[in-house]
Amino acid sequence: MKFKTIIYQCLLSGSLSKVVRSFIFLSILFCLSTLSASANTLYSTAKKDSTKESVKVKVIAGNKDCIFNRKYIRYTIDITNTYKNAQEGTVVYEVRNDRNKQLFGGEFNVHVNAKGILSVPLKFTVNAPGFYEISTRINVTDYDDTIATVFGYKPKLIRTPLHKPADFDKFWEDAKADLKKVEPKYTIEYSKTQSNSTHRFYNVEMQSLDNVTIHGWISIPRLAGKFPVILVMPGYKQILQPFFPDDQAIFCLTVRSVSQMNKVNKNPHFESEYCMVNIDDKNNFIYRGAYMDCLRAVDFLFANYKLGLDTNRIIVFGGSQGGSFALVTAALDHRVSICGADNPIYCDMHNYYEIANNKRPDAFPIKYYNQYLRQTAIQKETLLRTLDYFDVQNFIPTIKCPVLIALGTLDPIAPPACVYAAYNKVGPAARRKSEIHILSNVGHEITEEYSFIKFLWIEENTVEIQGH
Amino acid sequence: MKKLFLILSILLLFHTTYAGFPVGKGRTVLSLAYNFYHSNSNFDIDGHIQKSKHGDYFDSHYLSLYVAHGISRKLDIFAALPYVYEASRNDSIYLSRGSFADCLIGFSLTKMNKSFNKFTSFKLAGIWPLYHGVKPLAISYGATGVDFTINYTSTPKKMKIKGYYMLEGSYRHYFTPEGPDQFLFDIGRSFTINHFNYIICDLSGTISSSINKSTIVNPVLSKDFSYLETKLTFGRRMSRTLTLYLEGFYTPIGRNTGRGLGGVFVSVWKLP
Repeated sequence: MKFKTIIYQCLLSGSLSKVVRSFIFLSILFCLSTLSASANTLYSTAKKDSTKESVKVKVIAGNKDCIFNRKYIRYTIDITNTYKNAQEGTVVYEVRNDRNKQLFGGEFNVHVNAKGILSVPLKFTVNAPGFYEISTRINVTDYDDTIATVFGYKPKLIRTPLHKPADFDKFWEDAKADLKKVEPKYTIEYSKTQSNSTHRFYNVEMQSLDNVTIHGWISIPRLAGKFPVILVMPGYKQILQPFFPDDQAIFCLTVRSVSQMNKVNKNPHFESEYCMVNIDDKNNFIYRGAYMDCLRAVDFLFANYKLGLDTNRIIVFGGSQGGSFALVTAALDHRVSICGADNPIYCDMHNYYEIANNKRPDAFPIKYYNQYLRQTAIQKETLLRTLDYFDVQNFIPTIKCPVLIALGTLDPIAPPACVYAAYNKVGPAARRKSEIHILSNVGHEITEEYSFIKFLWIEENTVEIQGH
Repeated sequence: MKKLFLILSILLLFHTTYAGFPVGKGRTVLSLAYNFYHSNSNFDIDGHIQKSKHGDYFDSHYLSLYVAHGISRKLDIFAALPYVYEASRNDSIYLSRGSFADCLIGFSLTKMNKSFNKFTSFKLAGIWPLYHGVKPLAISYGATGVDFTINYTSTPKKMKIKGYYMLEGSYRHYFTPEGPDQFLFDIGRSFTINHFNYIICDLSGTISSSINKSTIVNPVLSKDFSYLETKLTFGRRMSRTLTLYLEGFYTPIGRNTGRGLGGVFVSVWKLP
């Protein structure tokens, strides 16, 4: 209201100095409002505390993203006391490596005044690049709690060995040759119910390895021109719901399921858990077929470019298992232009096995591996030898396109050390245009902010692609 | 006929259609606009409407090429090259002139929030006249100038009708002893009808101030004036790369400037 009044008055009086002053005033007001918005969070926390008696503890990393590339790791433990009495007690901290081995720690006495704040700085070093957990246990007069967080130390230098079988390349060349022998028999069915005024929607089917029928859906904007295609890979047992972006065609793939394996008599033990179907036989392991399903999806796009697809711009991406599929597809089929993987699983499996077994043996997929080893006479090494053929990091060096990877520092399913180790194996040419984003204090998920960054990154890299 | 606000409107044209959104790294946006303006009355120094005598009028046909290129996610460079054809009848004397007008070259830096739905851009541009003299009709001031703009564009997540809000304020100075100094603003709201059709409503205005308060000697070159303009734009995305806009504008309030209405046709290509 005030703004309008100023403008109207100035408009009729023609007083520019007043206008310029108003403009400057409004600009400053805007800048201040932007600044106060970010400061507000801190203020409101403090205000809230003052209305309710409590002890609040914050463990704040010296670097915002919890990644330290210099010698010292710095943390601050902030203890805010809103009680009317002082708080006495101890703070204990421990630093553990990703195999849950305690490296060092410390304990100190604290005294926080009534309605006071105490900041305890921590400064320490670790020797090897990797991801570490720092847990802080506070025990004071009216409060006790434990806070655990993870930080990374020089993750770019994480080097883990490739456990790549000698016949790895031949194994996948053979799989691709087997896939080629299967006639795709694409069927494309226009869906009236799913199509809308702005997008065409098709349900598609095709034949993949072992003559398994795989499915998917594709949405294409109803506009002239060819659209870049985002080939969305499914997460574990996930079926993706339709969505309709304005600037890209979307092809969502559903890879083979356990029931389809049953149908074609490829599940002799009637295993119900997807990741365990034929795990004892690399030639029949479900992921051999699933990886080939992903390649068949790329074949589909090239065979059906007339739908309005720009096959010079094929983007594969997915999250979790879908992230692994995306990376494998980009490695095995160089027609893919861009690859994005959020929290990809099955990376650096030897390392994963150790980390998961020591930290979260109850998490997926390690709990199934352990069950399997307990129920059979098979040794861990034998299992890992099979998994080596499917370990995503063994595919990564052959990726030629830009790669975007996200990892969560608290992710038990795709541990950060394993994902980063895999990313570090991206070849130098692809690496120049690739990025890895570390989402601190995030588990097996991504943040809203990162999802925006991801789409921006995809947009930018799509623009840079030159036609074949 | 006084028509300077038209030139200012042209320079703001792209802002209406592309708001404060960054172009995007590596992307080029090309815009070709045609603007027609007709005026047959004036606002006098007190803001009263003065009907023209003896069928006097001022017509303008404006063709503008605008190019913006994304250097990075946040930094764009842009340039505008306008050509104008003017025709005027004043006291039964018919005059016309065609010429390139003021060229605009600058850059824009955009700050985004974490959710990428609030964009604050800061634009700095230089103005260069591509014509000489004021005869037979003046194109603009014939002077170099500088323009500084702050644009805030927001696409709130919770909107009844999806679209964006835009607030824009500019300060412009021409390097002559008499200036003028100008303040321009634009308040806009876009409504997304569906993925590919939009309506944009705008309220914009200009306040131009100078020590030269003349209104009689050479009204075309008036430097001390102000006006408020209302705009309604319909946008339709035609293909992956092309969007067309059709705009109508009208000047309900003004002081020491022309009173008229017009229409704009804008084509925007997003490349590649």
